[in-house]
Amino acid sequence: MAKDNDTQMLKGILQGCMLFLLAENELYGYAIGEALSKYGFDEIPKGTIYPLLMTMEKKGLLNSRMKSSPDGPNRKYYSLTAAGVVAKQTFANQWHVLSQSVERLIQEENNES
Amino acid sequence: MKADKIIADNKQQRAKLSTGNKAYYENLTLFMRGHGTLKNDMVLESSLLEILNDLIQAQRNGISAREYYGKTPQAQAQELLAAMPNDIKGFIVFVFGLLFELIGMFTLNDLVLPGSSLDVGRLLLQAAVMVPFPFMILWCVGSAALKATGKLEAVFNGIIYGGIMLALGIVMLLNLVHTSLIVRPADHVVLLVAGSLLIGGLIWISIQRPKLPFIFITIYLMLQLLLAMLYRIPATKNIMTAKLDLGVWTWPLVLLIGMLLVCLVGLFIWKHKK
Repeated sequence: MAKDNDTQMLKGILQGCMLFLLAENELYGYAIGEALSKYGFDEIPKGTIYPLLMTMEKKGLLNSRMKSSPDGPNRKYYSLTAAGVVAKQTFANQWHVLSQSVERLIQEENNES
Repeated sequence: MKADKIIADNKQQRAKLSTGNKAYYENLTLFMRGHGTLKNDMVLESSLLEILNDLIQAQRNGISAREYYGKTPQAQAQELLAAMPNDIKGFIVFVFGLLFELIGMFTLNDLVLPGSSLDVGRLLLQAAVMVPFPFMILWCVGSAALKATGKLEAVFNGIIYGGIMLALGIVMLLNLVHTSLIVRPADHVVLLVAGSLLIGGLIWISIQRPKLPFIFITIYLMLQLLLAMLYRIPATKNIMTAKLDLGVWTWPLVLLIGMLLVCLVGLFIWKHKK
């Protein structure tokens, strides 16, 4: 159960991060994985990205189109839709509140000890 | 782009993977296809090609497929399948297509001899009973593909072979069933239908060039059509029905021909794999 919650939480965070990455640039699967690794998500198996991309596309947060890549065959590039931009802002707000709350809690715990 | 075109691209691109990475990806593909029979073909195949292209890029950067996609590919693959849309309509169309193909195969079997009658009830029953087996076998093949332990893989392989034997056994047993839905087609009608199917089949083979195991199924069906025709063409009818008595040499000859056929099939498979 705890592991399930961890996975769900991680997926939520990953989804939020992907919204940020795709707001900057149109990217394909491997490039998203590389960008996530650059930001410290290198331990996460990149197989996790594909179901998330599909779910986000299904929810209308992403658009995709086939485009030739600099090195090799055509790739599926993802970009943010208008709904994706709204979802990105919502995630940013939620994360801000959540991180502040958790930070305050940890701070108080540290002060007491 | 059609699913067939994506599958062809996939085969071509797959050659770029190293042996280890290719084995990893092929197991993943088997799992996804085996467990994704309800999913939209285009979406499934596009996703598989997307992953393949990324694995090739990872390999170029010195990252193995396992390192890139993950140590638990089954979990990721299940999640990806869960995210894919179902294609119930496509699945129903496919099931009915399969049902008609099976009815056709069993009908041909019964039509070879002249004056034969078709038990439509039994043919329908045989085909309907057989329909779930390919899906069950495909599911087991997919499940066996990503099992890390030899024991579990062996269990699934056992289920696959057991399933094939069970399916064949059931079909043979159902030959004993007789219903009242009997049709006796006239010989000239059978000749016409068999001739048209044979010509159509030969054109189909030359265009599609079916691969293993479909080539054997196709050859088997073509031979049945040819036999059905030869039995009904007046010029060849007498030769086909002539009594051939070779005395004590009958069985050795049958065995020799059987062994020759097995060797030919073996040689064909060996050459194909090479």
